[in-house]
Amino acid sequence: MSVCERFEKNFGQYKNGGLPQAVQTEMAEHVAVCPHCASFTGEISSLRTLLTGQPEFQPRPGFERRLSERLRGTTEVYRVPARRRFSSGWAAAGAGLATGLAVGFFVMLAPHTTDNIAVTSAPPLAAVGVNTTRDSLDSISDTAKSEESLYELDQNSRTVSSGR
Amino acid sequence: MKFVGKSDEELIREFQNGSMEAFDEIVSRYRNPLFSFVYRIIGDPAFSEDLLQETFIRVWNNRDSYREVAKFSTWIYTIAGNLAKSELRRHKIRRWFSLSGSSSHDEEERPLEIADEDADPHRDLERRTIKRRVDEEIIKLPRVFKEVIILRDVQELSYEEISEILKIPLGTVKSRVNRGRLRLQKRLRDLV
Repeated sequence: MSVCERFEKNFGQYKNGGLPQAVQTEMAEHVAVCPHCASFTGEISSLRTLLTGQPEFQPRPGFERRLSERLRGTTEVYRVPARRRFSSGWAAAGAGLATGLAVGFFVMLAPHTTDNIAVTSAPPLAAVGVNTTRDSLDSISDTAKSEESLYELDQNSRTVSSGR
Repeated sequence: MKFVGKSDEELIREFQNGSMEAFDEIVSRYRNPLFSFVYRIIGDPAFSEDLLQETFIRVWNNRDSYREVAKFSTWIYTIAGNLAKSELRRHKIRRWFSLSGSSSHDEEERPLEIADEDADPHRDLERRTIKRRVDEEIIKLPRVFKEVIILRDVQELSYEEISEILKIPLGTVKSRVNRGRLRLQKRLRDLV
């Protein structure tokens, strides 16, 4: 490996003074007489200036609102990336297919009486503990609250998360 | 104004004690730097916003697990960096992005830049072209070089902090920064 190659490879350490003293001196002496390495040093300095001056980006306007809605668990405005829609679509199709096969299998094996078919039908939501009325009222009262802080409405999640 | 002069660590402490306004301030302080960081790694604005939201949601959900043994900035950059890395690993966006070429850099797809108030309008177009070219080259770098170059040279974090964020030894950070710069220098030779 030539001195120029070693200089380029160890340039970062050389600039930070991180090389052993003897190597540091050798590099300093080399760059003083080598036009290639002197030019390289200038280019890296320019590059750093270029990189430091790169602009900062910002998300689309309304980021805080979208974040707030996502924190509240609302997905109506949040745009689900295509990848998720795709994967959830396949998951739903898979679940549907599995359910269909299971029901078909059960129907084939079971005696064909109307009593048995009635047993397999889904019970009402209230019977399995889903209080749809209360859920609806909760969501209405959530949206009716004022938004002094964008994230204030999610105070409940603190209780939930700290209770884990 | 309420939080002027308060450190990030003071903010997270107030948030841990129940101040939602402190969380607002954290979002306000870190929204753009984190978005810039994630966008330059992922190269896709929509995915970047998704990951940025996820980062803040994790801060929200795990606020009680933050301990002041590390700087808050290290903690939040670690969360964002890990999410970005997982996303790249899972979906190979970088490969897709480089294969799709310049079409992904269309005006519509590029996120909003923070305006440079001192910009000379006559040189604005030239500057924007150069900056865009530099960003394209950063995004094309292999991930291991890209993340250290962004954190060190664009975001100007210390080597020590980068080492903590990426969970790699200090020497590895320095070596990767050097090698990343060498690659960029070769690709941007006409500009430097």
